[in-house]
Amino acid sequence: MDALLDIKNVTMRFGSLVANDHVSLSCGYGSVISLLGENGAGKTTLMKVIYGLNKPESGEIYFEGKKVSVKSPKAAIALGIQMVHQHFMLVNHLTVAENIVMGNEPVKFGIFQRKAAVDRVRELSEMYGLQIDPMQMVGKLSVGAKQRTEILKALYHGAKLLILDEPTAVLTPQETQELFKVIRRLKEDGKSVIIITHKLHETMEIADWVYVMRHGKMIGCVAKKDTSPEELTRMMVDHALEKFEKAACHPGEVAVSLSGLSYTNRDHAPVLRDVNLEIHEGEIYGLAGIEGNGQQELVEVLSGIESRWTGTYRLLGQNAAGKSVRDLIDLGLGCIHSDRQDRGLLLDLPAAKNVLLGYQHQRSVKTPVGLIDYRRVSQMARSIIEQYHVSPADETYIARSFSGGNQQKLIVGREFYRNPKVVIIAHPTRGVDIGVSEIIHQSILKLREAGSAILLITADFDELFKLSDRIGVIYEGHIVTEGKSEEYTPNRLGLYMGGGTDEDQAV
Amino acid sequence: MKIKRFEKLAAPVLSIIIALLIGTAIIKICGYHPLSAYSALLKGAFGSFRYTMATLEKSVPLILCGIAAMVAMKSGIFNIGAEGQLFMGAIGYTVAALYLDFLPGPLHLMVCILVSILFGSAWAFVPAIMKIRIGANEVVTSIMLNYIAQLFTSYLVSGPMRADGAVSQSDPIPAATTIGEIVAGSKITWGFPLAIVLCIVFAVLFKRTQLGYEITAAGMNARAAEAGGIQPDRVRIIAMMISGALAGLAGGLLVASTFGRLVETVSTSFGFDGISIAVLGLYTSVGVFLSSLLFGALHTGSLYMEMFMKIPSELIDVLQGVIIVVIASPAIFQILFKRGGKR
Repeated sequence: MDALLDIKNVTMRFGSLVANDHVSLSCGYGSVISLLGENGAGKTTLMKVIYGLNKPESGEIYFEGKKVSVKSPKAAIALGIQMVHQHFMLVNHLTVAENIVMGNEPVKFGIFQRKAAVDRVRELSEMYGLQIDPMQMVGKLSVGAKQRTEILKALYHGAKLLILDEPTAVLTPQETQELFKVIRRLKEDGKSVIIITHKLHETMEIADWVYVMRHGKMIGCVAKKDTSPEELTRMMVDHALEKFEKAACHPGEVAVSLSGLSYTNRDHAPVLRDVNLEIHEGEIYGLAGIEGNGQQELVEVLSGIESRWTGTYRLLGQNAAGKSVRDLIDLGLGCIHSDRQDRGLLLDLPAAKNVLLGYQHQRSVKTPVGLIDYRRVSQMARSIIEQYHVSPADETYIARSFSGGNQQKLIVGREFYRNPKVVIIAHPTRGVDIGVSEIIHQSILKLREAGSAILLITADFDELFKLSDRIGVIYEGHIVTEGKSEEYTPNRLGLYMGGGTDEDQAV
Repeated sequence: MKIKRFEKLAAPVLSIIIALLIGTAIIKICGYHPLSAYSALLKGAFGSFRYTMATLEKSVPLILCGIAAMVAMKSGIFNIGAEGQLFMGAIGYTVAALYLDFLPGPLHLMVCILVSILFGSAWAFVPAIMKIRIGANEVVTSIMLNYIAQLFTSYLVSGPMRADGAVSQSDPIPAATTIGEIVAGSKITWGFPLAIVLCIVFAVLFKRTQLGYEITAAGMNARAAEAGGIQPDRVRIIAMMISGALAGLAGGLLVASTFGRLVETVSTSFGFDGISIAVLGLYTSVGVFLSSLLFGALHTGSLYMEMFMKIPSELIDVLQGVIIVVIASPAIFQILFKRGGKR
């Protein structure tokens, strides 16, 4: 039998960068394929070729045995290829059913048949065990439910092949399991699924075949049953990972102390509720939680950007109330915000000037007459570039011209350069490949050994368990559990992240 | 990176060339001879020592307004109110010159300059604070304030400050407060070297100082700037006040060196030209200086052209307009510099 999808020798170029270099991939009927690779390996590029968003330079695509040329997403959908993007394409102010039927609504005499739509959606939803209420407003759904809505939408529009772009990045472990259940149902039904991911254990759990990409090339294709996570890692990364060593934790004085900290945002929503938290010197406190449970706001409060909070916040023995961002920086606070392009970088300025951001007022970067000493700033940038292996290794290039991982290294280098006594780190390795993650993790640990107090906010469990000495979970702006990291398993954390307690597990 | 710089320069240069070509067509359509028009334009702008000096002198308010627009835009706020700030500066200068005449000469001059700067700056502070405190759109408020300043000038010169005679204008300012020619008969005043000094000052400000860095950062990414300990709102207010100060100074200099009194037509849209000049000059001091010379040359040249070739100077306004339209259309340059289908 022919494969459902056959990609042969696709080459895709962006300027001088070869994003896909003679890549081939084959996907049978009713099979689940995991497309694995570091960031920038070319996975998404390849999927966009299939979905008609990228036009390849050369190569052929066969779908259901016929040679096709997918010129647009519309053409892809007509063939039965659907893609669920990382960022959902849903209208919040419409119901699930309305969102799903959009583009192919049941119509009678030119009138939208709402009931028919709802029935059809309910039927589909039950068929695949998606557990979703068609009448619900999309804006009120959880992230996992939104994703299921997207999948349902794809099915409604006749998907034979479903492409999921990093579907589990936003899900709790429980939701991930739900998703996998759905995927298995789809498979039973003869539909094929391609999952883009860089999480090994998920690949090992759900995939039939694993394709691994590296630097735009297809490194290989293995059957899941014949491979191991170790082999996959070797295929993904072209350099051996250093064995990870973490010294014992020797917590010192309390460096950050929050008690009864609450914050109500502009929309009068209580985003942080009575947060109590202590972080010691030489300790990494990992804060887990599903995105949107107050992490962002906590970072803004701790960094001094947001000042309208109540409660107590003491930093290195000083009351932080009324202190500006600059005051806190001068006290010895470093901060890596979750979105590097949003709060971290001046994209159109050279790397050197980005390395200056946050410290432009300090004496150490100025000449005796008070001008900024850009020679010294450049030296600083060069030492960061060297230490973190930033490429291109040129501090005169504008920040925009660096890849995401290298931008992140610049930010980490900047914030760590002065050995801050307290560091707040949000999602330090999001969208960053394994090699870079490793560098960043090492430098976080080095800082810990030097006695810094570190708050690590992350959605990546591997990272959380690897680095944290203590772990807390934030749910709806409140820290619902806290303890030594050994006390937690991913499952237990996931439970708390979803608003449950240990008792729920017992039941 | 070098290639990038060249590409950047290509935009203003090409837009000038395109504008000249379109201008040629327009002049032709209007029934004039393009070549003789352009040669008259050149002759009028740089044909003799005096013409050249007149061109340079004409560029002084343009340079000041160009830098004014540049400073504001770099901080992320659009100062379309420079025209009004210029008028307020002119009023301030005249009032100080006429009514503080008990001051000794040099001090009097300094005070007049200072007052013009303060008036311009205060006038710019109004829309800035309104935007930051209550979110009022600075473009709308600035334009309104332009009208107020302009009409207030008209009121002053036709009412309380009106000099005897048929024309609506104030009394001439005392000699001690005028700014004269560098060399008698040269037509160029001390305003020009002052403008050059300001170009250098602002080049250094943006290249080497903390304030320059913070203005750039606030304009480029206010949220990142905020995380870097910069208060974008504060920086923008400061930038706006610097911008107003420069526009006010331009107004003061026009009174002090060009008119010698307050007149209704102190500015012929220098404040607005400043925006075009900043854009054409790629938001750099050097660029602003060169663009101002170009605009100054077009001004003086077009007068000559009108006088001797009977070609209406409005055609040159069209030319200026085309330059701006072309440079403001990034799409045109994307087509011209079609680079590989990045992204």
